[in-house]
Amino acid sequence: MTEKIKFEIVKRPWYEWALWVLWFFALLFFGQNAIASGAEMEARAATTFWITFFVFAIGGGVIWYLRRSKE
Amino acid sequence: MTETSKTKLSRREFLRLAGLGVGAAAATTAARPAAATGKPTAVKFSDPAGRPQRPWWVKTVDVPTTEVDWGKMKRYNERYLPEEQEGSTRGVGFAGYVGKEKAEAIEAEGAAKMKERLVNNVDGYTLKDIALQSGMNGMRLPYSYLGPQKAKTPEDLGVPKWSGTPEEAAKMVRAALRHMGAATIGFLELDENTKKFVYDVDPDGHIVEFTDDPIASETETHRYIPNSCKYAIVFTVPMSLEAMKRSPTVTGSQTTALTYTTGTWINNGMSEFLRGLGYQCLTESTLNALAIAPALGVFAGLGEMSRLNRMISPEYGPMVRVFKMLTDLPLAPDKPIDAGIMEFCKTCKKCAEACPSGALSFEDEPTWEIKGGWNNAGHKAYFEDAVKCRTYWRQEAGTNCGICFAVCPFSKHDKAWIHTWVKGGISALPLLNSMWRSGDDAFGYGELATGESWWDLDEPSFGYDTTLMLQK
Repeated sequence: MTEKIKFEIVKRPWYEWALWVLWFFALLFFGQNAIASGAEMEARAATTFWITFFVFAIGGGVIWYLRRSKE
Repeated sequence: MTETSKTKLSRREFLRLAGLGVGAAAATTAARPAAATGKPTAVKFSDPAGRPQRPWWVKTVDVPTTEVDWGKMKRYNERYLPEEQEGSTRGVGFAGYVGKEKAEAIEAEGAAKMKERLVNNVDGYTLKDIALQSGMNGMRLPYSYLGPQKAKTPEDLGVPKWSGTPEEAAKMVRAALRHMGAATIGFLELDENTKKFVYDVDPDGHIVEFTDDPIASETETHRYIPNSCKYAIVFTVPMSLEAMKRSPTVTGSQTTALTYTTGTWINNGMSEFLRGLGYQCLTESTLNALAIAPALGVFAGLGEMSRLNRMISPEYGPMVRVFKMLTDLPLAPDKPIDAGIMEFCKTCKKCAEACPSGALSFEDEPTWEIKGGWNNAGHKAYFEDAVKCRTYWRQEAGTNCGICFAVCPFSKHDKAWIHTWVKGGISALPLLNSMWRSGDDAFGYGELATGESWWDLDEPSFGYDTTLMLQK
């Protein structure tokens, strides 16, 4: 079975990319804080950061998917 | 059969995105190498005097964030003097303030409670906790104003004494102190004003006098400081935050005992080190002797005063004990700092709310008015009611308390990036101080733990991490 990947050129405004970069940094920030709070034995802080991390990750994924299917 | 999958990304855009991801990771790594590579084992001093690279939000200033009225400030009697109703609440001071009979009754009540807790195996007061406390005290070296005086001097070795610039000396002393166990280090050249931080009367009743004699000495009643010994070495030794979270119990207080023990090692070590270089080093003759440590710490840039009426360090918060010594080795002095700590304390009040004895001030602004003879007038501070504090220690806790240290928003392990962001915010955006405080509560910081659970922890040696200073 041969798999071909076809790239389609999609024009997105620059600010959308900027928002995705911000999203990436937010994920990095919340993820680091979640892991480090666990290492600090701060249970409530770790839980809060993990919840925020997953909300951001899933929210970003959903938005990406919806934007993609609209093109 | 051919299967085609579609993705709506151009190659250029895909590469751009990938590049951004790599760039972001690289930027993060460059900004905080320790986060990506683990803690560094050592870094080279980048400053000629060995001053640490502190974060941007720790600003060096000419005047500390605590106002001082030098005209009103005088050298303090750390020993309680009944005729002046002035001095520390430690030792005989407590009875001096509350009366002998009441003090004895408080002691008796406290001792009975301690016995009852021990017999009933109360959390944080079990036999192993008390034994550990004894262990911490058992490691302590004798206090000595003049030090052990055993090291061979350059004269003994037939060589000239060490010489170098004040910057080189500062760097050398920093390297030695860090190796001996100090966390943060600062130097101050005493002048006619800052000499007032040196006690007039030591805790053991010795009168402390500055003299033109070139060599320091002590008698049955006096300690003499040569005017040439005008360089103050100030350093901190951290406490275990995990232990302090078990306050107010013996499990919590033993970390304080360990810190004082470490202080005696460093006092003795530095005395011998400086003697070996051909210089004098004057240290504490008893616990908390010689000078007002937090004041020297503030002027040497180690931290700011706070609502606790103790020094808070930007790196370790209040979780440090401050130690001091005097030498005639010229050392490049440091400047005070402003990291927004005192300003934050105006809003926060978390320590005052948590204090079980109600000893800490709830005032919005610091004041010139002292609470009692245990405070030294002449500076604007949040003066504490030390008698209330001590009464709680002796009557209820049976040991040191430390709750105010444990709950302080500056008491953090500093592994999570959020702490650096919040500290930066406290320094740069004091308007949001109430938000920072609310966030601290919302994230559950400052919650106390059980004494028994401390025994399940495998902490770093001594319970703290001095590599914090290397990560900035």
